[in-house]
Amino acid sequence: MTHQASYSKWPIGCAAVSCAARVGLLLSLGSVTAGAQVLAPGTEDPNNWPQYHRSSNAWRYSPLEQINKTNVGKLKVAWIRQGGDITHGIQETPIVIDGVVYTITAQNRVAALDARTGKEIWRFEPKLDPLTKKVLFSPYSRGVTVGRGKVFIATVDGRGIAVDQKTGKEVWQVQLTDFANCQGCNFTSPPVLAGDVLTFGSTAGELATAGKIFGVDADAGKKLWEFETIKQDPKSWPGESGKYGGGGAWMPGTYDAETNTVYYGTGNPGKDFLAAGREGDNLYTDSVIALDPKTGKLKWYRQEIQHDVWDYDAAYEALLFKKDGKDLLVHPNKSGFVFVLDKSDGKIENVWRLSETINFVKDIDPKSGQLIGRLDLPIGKATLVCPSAFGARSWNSGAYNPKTGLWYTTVMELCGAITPAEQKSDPKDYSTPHIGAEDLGKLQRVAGHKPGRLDARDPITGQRKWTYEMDIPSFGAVLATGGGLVFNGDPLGIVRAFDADDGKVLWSFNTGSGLRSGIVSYAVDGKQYILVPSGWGSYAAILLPALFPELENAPGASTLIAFTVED
Amino acid sequence: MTRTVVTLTGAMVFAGVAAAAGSDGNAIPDLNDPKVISAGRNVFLKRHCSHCHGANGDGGINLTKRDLTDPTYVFQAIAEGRERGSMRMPASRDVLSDEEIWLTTAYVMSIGLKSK
Repeated sequence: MTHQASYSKWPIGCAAVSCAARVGLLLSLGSVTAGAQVLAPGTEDPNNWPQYHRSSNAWRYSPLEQINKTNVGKLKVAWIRQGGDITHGIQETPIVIDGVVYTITAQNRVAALDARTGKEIWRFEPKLDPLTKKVLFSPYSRGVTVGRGKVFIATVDGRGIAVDQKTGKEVWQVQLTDFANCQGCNFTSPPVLAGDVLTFGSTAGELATAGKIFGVDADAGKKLWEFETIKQDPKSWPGESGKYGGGGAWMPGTYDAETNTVYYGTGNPGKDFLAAGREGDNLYTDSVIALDPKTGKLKWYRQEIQHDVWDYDAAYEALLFKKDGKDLLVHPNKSGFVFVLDKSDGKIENVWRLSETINFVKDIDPKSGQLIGRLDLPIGKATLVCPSAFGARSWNSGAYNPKTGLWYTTVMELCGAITPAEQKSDPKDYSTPHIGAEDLGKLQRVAGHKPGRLDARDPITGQRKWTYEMDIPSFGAVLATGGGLVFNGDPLGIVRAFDADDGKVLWSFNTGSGLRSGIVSYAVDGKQYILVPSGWGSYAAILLPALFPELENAPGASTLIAFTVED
Repeated sequence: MTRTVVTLTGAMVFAGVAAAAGSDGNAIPDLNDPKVISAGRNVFLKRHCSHCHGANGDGGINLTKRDLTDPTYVFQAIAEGRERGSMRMPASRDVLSDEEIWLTTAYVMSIGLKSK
């Protein structure tokens, strides 16, 4: 793939409206021409981080290059902002537009900050349903969405809220999930802005409920449609098994304006580890689904894991590429396989292995996608499953650099011993995971492998160029930059900058608390910043100390740290 | 059950005085009784406390390394949930009955560090 970006070293900033118009024009034309400049895919709107994965192709690539291999060693702290409540740490990917940072911390507390100084401009703190104290997936959020003059929040009590982008005053709110009657199904990730429609994906796996994606009018706050991630089909879900079938789309989707499609990955079926009662393929769990954001109608789907009994969600990022005349969608699955699909119809182009430790199947057919040689999990008996229920990677996204042609992603090599058990389905049993096992499986190391890695790979073939091994796996998202750098942070709080070409560590900094978040980069007043959300928390923080005692007393935090290179 | 009632009855029970009653009128079990502890383990597993604490209490949030000798503290933590640092345990009041919380309290105390 060739993506020779031809843009000025310091691209001229643009106001939100003009940027949006420019990007919309570029995408609608399927072109990368803007005046005399030619913008390669993923390089549009370079000074900002305007959406969850920065660009619509979900690359998490900042084209900024003021901070680069030669000066990254001189990175210094520019400002620090404490988020206050540290419950479950800080898990967000901040949004940065035209010199303003939009941040969300525990309890859905949102703030706008001056990106030069970290000084607060406004804050918004919604009053949450007290039931959020009891439910499993609370009170954290992975980000906000900004556009159309508003900041959109998907709340942990199942609402959508819009506040004014300049003032933080509430514009509208709408209750979307049946929060009290679905074991607390809610939103832990930001909505996707698809034109004038917002799409919200609910939590559902590990809950006695059925997942939904909601379409909402972004300006009026009116619900437009619901898409059920559990297919109404007795062949797929016998009896009433689909009623509590899980399958939530709990991570943000990718909106492709070129085809007016929003791509979502869906979660695992429930109960996670118990096959009995839900014989069938359990559509549309563990699938990539392509929806029309105007209507919520399904364009196509590709199920990656049929009849999953190992908790291998497909909720992760969907990257878009053009190669050899094909429009491709690359989608990592928690199972350790990466699926390369035709983005127009979901047809499989390739399936490759990210993990080196896989035993839940002997293989996945790279043409049909069928699972070959499944590992069954008998009730009441412990079975070692690889990868573990943490997956070959957690939800924290990788990043792609068009200059190197490499996709950078964290990897785990861990197994877990799963003992399935009968369990009643009770949508009001808020604090009990609906998983059909005593726990998520006792973690085990794999002989001959470090538990964690950062890999640099060709996203289409999986060919690996370099790897960086870790004694404790990373649970932070990756940032790639035009300066030839890759940023990632670990559970102990060490942030590293790697040489994108060979993986050499060029800089590191101890932030004082682990990373479960998305590092971003932006520029304001001609200066590039690296913004690091630091704050260990989440269920990973709870479960990992059993295998990694170093994390037993790992401190929590909810801190934004902005780095820059002094003149 | 009010916090005051819990404090008083909890202390009495742990001292072996199993005559107090919870707010629901049910007698609070003897927290040292092996049958009560065994029943508490069943609740612990059935309600997936093992998800975070491990089936034997030695999971990610390791109860076997903690001072869990105060029944009031343990009961309250299970009933109302707990937030410590970045960690959060969901509240179980109304999810579990008072009786189930006391049973679980007995099991949790049995696996925690003992007073010297």
